[in-house]
Amino acid sequence: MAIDTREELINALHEACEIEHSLLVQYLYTALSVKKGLDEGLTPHQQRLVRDWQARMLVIAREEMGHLGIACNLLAAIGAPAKLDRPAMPRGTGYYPFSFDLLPFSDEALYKFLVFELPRGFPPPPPPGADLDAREMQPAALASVAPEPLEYEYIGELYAKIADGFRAIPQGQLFIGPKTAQTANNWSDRMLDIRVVTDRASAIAAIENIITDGEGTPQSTDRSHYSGFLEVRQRYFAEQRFDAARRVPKNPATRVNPEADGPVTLIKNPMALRLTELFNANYGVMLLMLQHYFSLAPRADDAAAETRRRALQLSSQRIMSVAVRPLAEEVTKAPLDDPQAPERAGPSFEIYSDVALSPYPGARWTILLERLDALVAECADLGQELPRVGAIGETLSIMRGDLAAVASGEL
Amino acid sequence: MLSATFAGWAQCRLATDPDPYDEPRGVSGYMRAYAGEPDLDRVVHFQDPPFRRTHTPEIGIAVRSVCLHGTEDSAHPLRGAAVHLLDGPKFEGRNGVIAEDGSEPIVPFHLCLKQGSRQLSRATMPSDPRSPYREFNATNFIVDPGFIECATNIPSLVDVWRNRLSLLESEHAGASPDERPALEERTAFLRQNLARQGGVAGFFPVRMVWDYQLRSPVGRRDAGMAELLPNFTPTEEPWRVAFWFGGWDADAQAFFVGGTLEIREVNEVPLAPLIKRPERMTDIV
Repeated sequence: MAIDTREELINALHEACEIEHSLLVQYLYTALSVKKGLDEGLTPHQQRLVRDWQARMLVIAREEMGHLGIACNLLAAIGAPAKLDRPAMPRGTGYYPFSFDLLPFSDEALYKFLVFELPRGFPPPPPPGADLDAREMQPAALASVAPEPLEYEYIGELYAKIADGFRAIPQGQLFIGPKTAQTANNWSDRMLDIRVVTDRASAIAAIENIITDGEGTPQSTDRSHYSGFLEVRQRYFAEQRFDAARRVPKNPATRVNPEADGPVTLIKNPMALRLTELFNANYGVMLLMLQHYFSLAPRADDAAAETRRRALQLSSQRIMSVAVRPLAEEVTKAPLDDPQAPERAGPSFEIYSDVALSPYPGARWTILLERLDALVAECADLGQELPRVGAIGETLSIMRGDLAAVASGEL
Repeated sequence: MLSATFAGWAQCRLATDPDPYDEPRGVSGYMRAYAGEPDLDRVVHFQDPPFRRTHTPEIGIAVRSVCLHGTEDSAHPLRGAAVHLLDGPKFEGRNGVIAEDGSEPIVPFHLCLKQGSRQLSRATMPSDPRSPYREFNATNFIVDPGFIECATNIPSLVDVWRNRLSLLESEHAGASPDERPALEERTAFLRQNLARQGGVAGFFPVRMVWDYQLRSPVGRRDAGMAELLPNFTPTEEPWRVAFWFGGWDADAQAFFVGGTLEIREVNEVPLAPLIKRPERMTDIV
């Protein structure tokens, strides 16, 4: 179905946002599931490999965050709000041959990621458990027979429709959003490569950036997401697919969600349950900060508004480093149920309530600060048993204080 | 007043952005605990770190000179004393939440000078225990290549790394299978950075500067303090310590330290502070 109205374009961009968000949390879950220490049964050789694989997958996840940022900019350019919530896992999608799942590091996970990032014209990868012929899987060899430019086999179709929508709708009518509501490429993480959208040409260029970033170009396929997952999978096969992951479950959850498209693994250990809920709450606050950030469009002469916007940007970035990622790792060390059993819990990336701002601007900061207060209190309580969580709470308390000062105009 | 200058190499093994500040192995940043090495402990070690990579500077800070009432005292008991930081001090920037890179406070900061069984120590104390960090932020971040070169006697860290890489590569054949992964990671790091005109060796000429007031009660934990300060009764008023860290060697996970501890006598009257705005020699006070 061709896109030729703003509403259709917004709906398609919403779908793109949900897909990018779902991809990145899957990559994060798998990356954060790996073992780290020799005391977990790794040899020094394996410890090095696993850390390199984790680093590679985290880079890809961060690049997907950049894609999500670009998709939100495309929405802002046409006057629509950012789309930062996403469906529950597991999730069937119409764009891929299988569902979105949270999976521990494994051949199954790497196979699915290769399919997600498969360039158009490339043959599908061997299924999980198959022998991998290294010669057949070399990106350079495949690039010589692949069409130019490379496009996603799957999500490429969606972005092509979005690009056509930007071409079809007269740009004088379409681009009505304030430029200052978009995010610039001024995040500390240079991987994000975010593009600002002002007209049809920049919108098409931004979409091209998403499509080709994932799988690269024929000249630089070695930098593509596909190539990254391929290298990891090939090396993992060459290393006899050793036990690289903690015993985290497929699709962990703190509660049954009727909107999920399949079964979940409930976390039953009381401490792990609280820890995972705390992780999810931090994840939710991060999304709320980003939603608030994208909602602000300061005038050029409003330094105070720009300060508030910048504070939200920095806080959303920092909460990922000081809370979300550390809590995810703590959850993977906590027991799923029986503390004597080897199964561990996993960061479930559940979103408990809509990522929606209050319609009353005066209430937004109050609500955000209340959410942070709740995180600080829970961290303080759990911190009595888990010192790292106590430190997280202290850091969040400082962040909360700074945001309150910015909101009130003190800073 | 007694002033003791100190200097030497210190170590801190810590993760770097975008890793969480307390990431134990280092994943996404350029600082890592290589295979088989212990976790990154973030502690600033002035003496005897629990782990040190091969072919890297000896860690140890000592009092280099003592000046008493304006005259250098080459026989002072504090001369040559080992300078320690007690209680596990850490850079507490916390991924920019407390302080941006280059401004981080060191908390706790408990300075201790030891000579045999005798010691002299004092610590900072936050004005508000509920907010114990930002008043201890670094006061400056200076690119100071000449100063660093003089202090470290190292004109080029790149040359040091080239020599070190050569030594490490020569050890590869004799390394055990368990030693080899760390050796390979380390040589890869050095090669990659040398290929980029030094890469993170570019931090070497930079120094961070702090200026602290030590306010904890004097002498509570110090055996033999009087012997270290003969004929000198230190004031309970704050002691000043001004110091810098620089010459960062990311492969050694080490940096050079220089500083001065100032202790006034109990009846010594300090000069009155000048007026608040930047002082000038011609100001009327």
